[in-house]
Amino acid sequence: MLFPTLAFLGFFLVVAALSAALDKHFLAKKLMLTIASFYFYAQWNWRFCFLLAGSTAVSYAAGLVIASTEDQRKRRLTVGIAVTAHLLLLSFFKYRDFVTTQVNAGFAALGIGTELPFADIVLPIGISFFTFHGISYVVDVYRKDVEVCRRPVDMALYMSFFPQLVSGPIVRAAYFLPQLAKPSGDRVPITAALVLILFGLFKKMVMADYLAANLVDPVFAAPTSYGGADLALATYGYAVQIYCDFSGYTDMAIGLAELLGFRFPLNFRQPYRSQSLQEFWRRWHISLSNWLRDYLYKPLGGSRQGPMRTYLNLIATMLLGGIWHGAQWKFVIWGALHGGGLAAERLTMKLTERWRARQIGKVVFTILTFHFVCFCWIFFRAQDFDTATLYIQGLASGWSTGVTQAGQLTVGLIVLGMTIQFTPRTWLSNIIETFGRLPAWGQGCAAGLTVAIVEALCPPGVSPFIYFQF
Amino acid sequence: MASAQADAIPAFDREHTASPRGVLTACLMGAAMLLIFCSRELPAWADQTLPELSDTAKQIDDTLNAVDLTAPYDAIHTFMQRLSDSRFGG
Repeated sequence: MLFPTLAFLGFFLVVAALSAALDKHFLAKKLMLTIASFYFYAQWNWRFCFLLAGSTAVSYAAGLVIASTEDQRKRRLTVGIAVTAHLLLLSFFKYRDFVTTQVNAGFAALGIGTELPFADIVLPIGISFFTFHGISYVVDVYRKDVEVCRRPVDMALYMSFFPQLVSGPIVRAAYFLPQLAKPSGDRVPITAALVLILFGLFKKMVMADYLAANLVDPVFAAPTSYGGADLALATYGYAVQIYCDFSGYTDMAIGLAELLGFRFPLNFRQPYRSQSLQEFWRRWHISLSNWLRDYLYKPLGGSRQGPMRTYLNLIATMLLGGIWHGAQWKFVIWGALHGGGLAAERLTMKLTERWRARQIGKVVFTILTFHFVCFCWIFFRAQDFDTATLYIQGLASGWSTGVTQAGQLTVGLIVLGMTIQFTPRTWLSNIIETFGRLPAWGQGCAAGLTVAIVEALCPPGVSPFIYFQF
Repeated sequence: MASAQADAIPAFDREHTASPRGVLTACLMGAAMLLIFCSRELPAWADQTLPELSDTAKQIDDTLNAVDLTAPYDAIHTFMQRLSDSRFGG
């Protein structure tokens, strides 16, 4: 059940109606939202609900055990078991076939005639996100960063809340559980929520889907059939597409959660205006970047153990971040490039400091950072590592054929996507201010009309969100 | 110590509010507007999700088409189709 569908609209209308009816009964509202979230998840495959429930039960039980004792050995053992259980679950579904392929290749290279069978397992949607929720909860309870959750319904809703269930943002327990402890009493910021939903819908349905269908998908499917100009435009196109697709989903998730009375954290902040890779990762998929920093980079030692160890920690963190996206070498390369880039940037920061402070330096480093990120996206998007290599070879040659695939619309969308990166935040606030002058019913009418216009603007069909596959 | 997460919607954008009933009213009004001005999509949506409603969806679309309420959708759709097909130098 994708957000931009009639089925989801029907589902959300029922949930909003029940949410309004249960406004004064917070426990019942939480229970209803949990049931609705499991129903939402069951629409993909009802069997996956058992995984989600199991992951929730492990996190809940581990939290109670950790909080019940001051014995460090017992606490450490419990957090270790819970984290291992989550990682095993993730590895089994996500990496089993990748490991089997590598082992079989190793067997073949050694002349061993045995082949391990493939499990041929369907990847449960959203598994990477809910296992990360579970891990962060037990680690935070262990570190005493968050109060233990004693109500099963709170834990179940934290793990399963449908707006963030399948593609994030990764909401920390310390951020979300206090919202479940008692009703906030705040009224719903309806205007901001609706504007975010509409903006997200436009980014996904119009910008991302047109760029995918008219430029990115055909060019990446057969890079050798296109010249350098099309390949370069498709690379920029993908940079804008993945931003619009993922941030569009996040905007909708945030808006939907707010309409139901819950806050979500910021996940994107105009990432392509970054003047360094470090800044990029503070603006792109912020909830994942922070997760990797707090649960991987810092426990590895962070930047506290000398420059050499810091570089290694950066590379290791980004490598694992790459592998989190999928069990393919192209993601390993993507992560390694970002890790290497971050390490190189840190190494040369002292040398470039004066340059970076100057206006021209800011422009140059923004362009350099954006192009490095685009280069890395080639590995991320290409079918496999070999296709990415062919793509890069094509970029380095074959500029004589001109533009054959990109059209006025796709180029216009790339320009629009880049303009969004540099538009002041006050622009969105002004829209919210203007839209907010209407009464709630009027805002609903205006939102419905806007959705109708977006539907008319977008290409036929609804393509799944890119991050659903992770 | 895990870092605190910042709200996606900052305090200064939270001034225009509604009650949960207001939210429901807005959602229902939005759905009604969508039904009226986006009826072209209804038959395909119904075919995919609720095939038993296919005939009703088609009837709604035909009725709204008869009173020209589908014209804005058709005009935008045709314009985008043309724009989507246009290529540089062609």
